[in-house]
Amino acid sequence: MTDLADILTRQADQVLPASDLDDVHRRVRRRRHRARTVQAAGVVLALASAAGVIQAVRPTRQHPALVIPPEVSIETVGALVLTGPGADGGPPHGFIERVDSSASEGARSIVLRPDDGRLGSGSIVITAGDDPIAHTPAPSPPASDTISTVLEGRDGQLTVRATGIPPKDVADIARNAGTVDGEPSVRLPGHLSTYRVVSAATTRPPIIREARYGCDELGEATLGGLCFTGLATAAGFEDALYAVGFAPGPMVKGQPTVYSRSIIASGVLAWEPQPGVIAFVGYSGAGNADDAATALARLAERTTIIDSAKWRSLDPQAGGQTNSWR
Amino acid sequence: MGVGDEIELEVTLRPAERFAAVYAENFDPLVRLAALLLGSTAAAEDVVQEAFAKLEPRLSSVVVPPAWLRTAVVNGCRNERRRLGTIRRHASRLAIGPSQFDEPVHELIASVRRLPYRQRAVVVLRFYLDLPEAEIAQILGVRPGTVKSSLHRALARLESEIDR
Repeated sequence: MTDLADILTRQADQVLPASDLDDVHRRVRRRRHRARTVQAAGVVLALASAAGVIQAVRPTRQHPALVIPPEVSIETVGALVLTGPGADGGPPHGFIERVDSSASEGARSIVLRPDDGRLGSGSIVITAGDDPIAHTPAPSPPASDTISTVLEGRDGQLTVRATGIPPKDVADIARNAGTVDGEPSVRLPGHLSTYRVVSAATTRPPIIREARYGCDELGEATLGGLCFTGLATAAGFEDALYAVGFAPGPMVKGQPTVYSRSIIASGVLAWEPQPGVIAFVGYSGAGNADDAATALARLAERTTIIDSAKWRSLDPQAGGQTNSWR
Repeated sequence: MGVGDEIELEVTLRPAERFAAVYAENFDPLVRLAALLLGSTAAAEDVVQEAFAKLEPRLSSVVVPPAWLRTAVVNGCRNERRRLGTIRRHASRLAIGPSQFDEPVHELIASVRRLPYRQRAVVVLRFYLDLPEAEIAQILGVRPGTVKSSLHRALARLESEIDR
């Protein structure tokens, strides 16, 4: 990139600045004048307020800018695979690394939660950029406490989806949300100071690591067809989840899960090994949907996360695609 | 004191003289930096003048004026960029021609101008000013990791545009 440095220098050399120190002094005087005017106006307002002439208007106390956690790379997490009968010899249908090379140019999302929030219960996701989910009819009704709103702002579209969050909080967060350089951003009013950003990343996962097994071989013939495990880093999973609908799933390895029949294949059970990382077990077949969540939970208990070196040693097949969650 | 020893002279300038010295030394480089960030010399000069106007009353308390000014200019450009964006969108209606914006010397400059502001700032601060990531992070008020990822995304995007 030495060329880039040279080109930038050549462009900068084209600039012939015209300095004017007197203009700076004029600006300083104008700024001082403005400051005095504002100060005087403040005194008048304070006096009028004290005298009961006007009702004092206090500005909303703003919480300091939220701390944005660093984006999690799947390289630091690894991949999710199954162990036990039907899986130990490796999945007959192989390992797949689904690479979305343009994910970083697409929409971006942040996930906020109050202290007791978690995936599927007490969580709000804000997405800046195009929202394909919003234009797709949801095949199953979203959970009753799910709220979705699409805002058209000066800097483009902003989608806010939440579940298990009081509507007033959602409204206050949406009102204070915006975009900065294409990134969703929010400044929270003081009464929402318990909310934290738990994840900030691309909406679409740059990489999904998937292992595919036969459901029969795994001992879950009722699901029929193909079973799979997956691991991805992206903040957009919740955007899709709350858009298409989900139900709370059984606990897996002591963690709460969500189950959806609409987000990936015929059904998927997902949980969050750590903020910003989504692990899932799903199936693609004609199995009994009523029992599917329980069967998938049994498989989820058999999963383990392997590191990236181990994943690569399994010789996964890489494929380019758009990793939209639907 | 031997021959060749450096003599340190402590020169005490009056505030107005010190400000004039800081202005003379930093004005041109700052306008060039701002012009790279904004694509317009006229807008760059305005942002830099404003930065100096903000510095003047607090000069005595600013330890390193060039660093303070650089941060003020990068932040000022971010605000100005929004205003320029509006001008660009309404250029035809407002009868403002493309001459408002500097002619790019290379198509890569046009690609840099299309980057989101943070990525553009990281590229310019890294490759034009040759600043380390830690200092860029300080100027932009972000973490060093964010600088790294922004730079990575920016270079990937520039490379993909060049390949097209």
